[in-house]
Amino acid sequence: MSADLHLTSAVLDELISGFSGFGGRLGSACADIRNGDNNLNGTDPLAGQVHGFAGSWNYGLTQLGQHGTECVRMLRQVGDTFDRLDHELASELSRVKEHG
Amino acid sequence: MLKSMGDLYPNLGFDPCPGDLAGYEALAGYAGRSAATLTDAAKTLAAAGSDQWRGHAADAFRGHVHTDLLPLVGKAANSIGQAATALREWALTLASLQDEARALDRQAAPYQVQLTAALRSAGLPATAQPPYQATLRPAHQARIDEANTALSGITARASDLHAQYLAVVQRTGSQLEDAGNMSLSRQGNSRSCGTVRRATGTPSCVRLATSSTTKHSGSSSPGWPTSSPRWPGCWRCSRHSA
Repeated sequence: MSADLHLTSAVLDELISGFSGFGGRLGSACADIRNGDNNLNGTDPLAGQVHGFAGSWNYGLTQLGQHGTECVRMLRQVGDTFDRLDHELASELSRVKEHG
Repeated sequence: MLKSMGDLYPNLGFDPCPGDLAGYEALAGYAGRSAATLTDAAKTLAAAGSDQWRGHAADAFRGHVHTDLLPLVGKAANSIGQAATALREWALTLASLQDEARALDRQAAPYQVQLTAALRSAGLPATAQPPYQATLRPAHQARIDEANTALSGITARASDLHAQYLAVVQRTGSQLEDAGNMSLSRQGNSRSCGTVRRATGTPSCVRLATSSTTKHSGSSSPGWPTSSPRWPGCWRCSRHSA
């Protein structure tokens, strides 16, 4: 056996929690940028640049947040797959034992 | 409520450096907080689950996070941090320029009063401009000339202030544009994000998880080189695609 597998549900939960929090923080950063942009009225000399910047990063951070959400989904799938494999292997061993 | 230019600088007659100082200060604060949030989030992710999850799947996941996600989060933090710095500097400069404008307006006030009084005592309206319709007495002419000379000097200084203001507006605008150019949406990564969503919509992480368990039975997982673990369907593209 060459694989060195080690995974506990606590570690996976910690990762899921970290990545879920990451999405939340990005959401908060987006809200801050939107709030700041809303503080300026359209006639202000830098309003155009600020609005462009805020729009670009609001989009970029939303994309990053979605990426973090996908990571959470992947981690959950990893956990589900390990659980399923564990049960499958246990069933297989039981069958071998019954037939043996 | 917005004040008109006349309300802000009644003696100068124009606003040499318009701008909502409080709005920019608030915006700089928001941008700074946003950058700090991202920096903090990147640190948390970088440390998440290290060494406690082992195997090819773990290596691939960490590789993906460190190669693809964290650099982008770092870039976002830098870009927004740069914008916050530019906005803070702009707010400080704007405050200083508006202080100077108010000082010039105060300096102009007595000359404006002197000019108005001299014109009225000569029977002219306060808004009269040279050359005047009426013949002025030497005393009136002297007071009017003195006030006009002083006001011209102050107006010239206000115009210099306006030129400085325009230069700083341009510089700050460029800095904001540079910071915005670092954003993901301007680098074509948004399309790659779609790739991730599609890729992860498939059971790629099942393959990822099973690749480790099947490895010791001698089978290999197609498209998932174990010598260089990577996340299948990586959003950054061809360099990482299996």
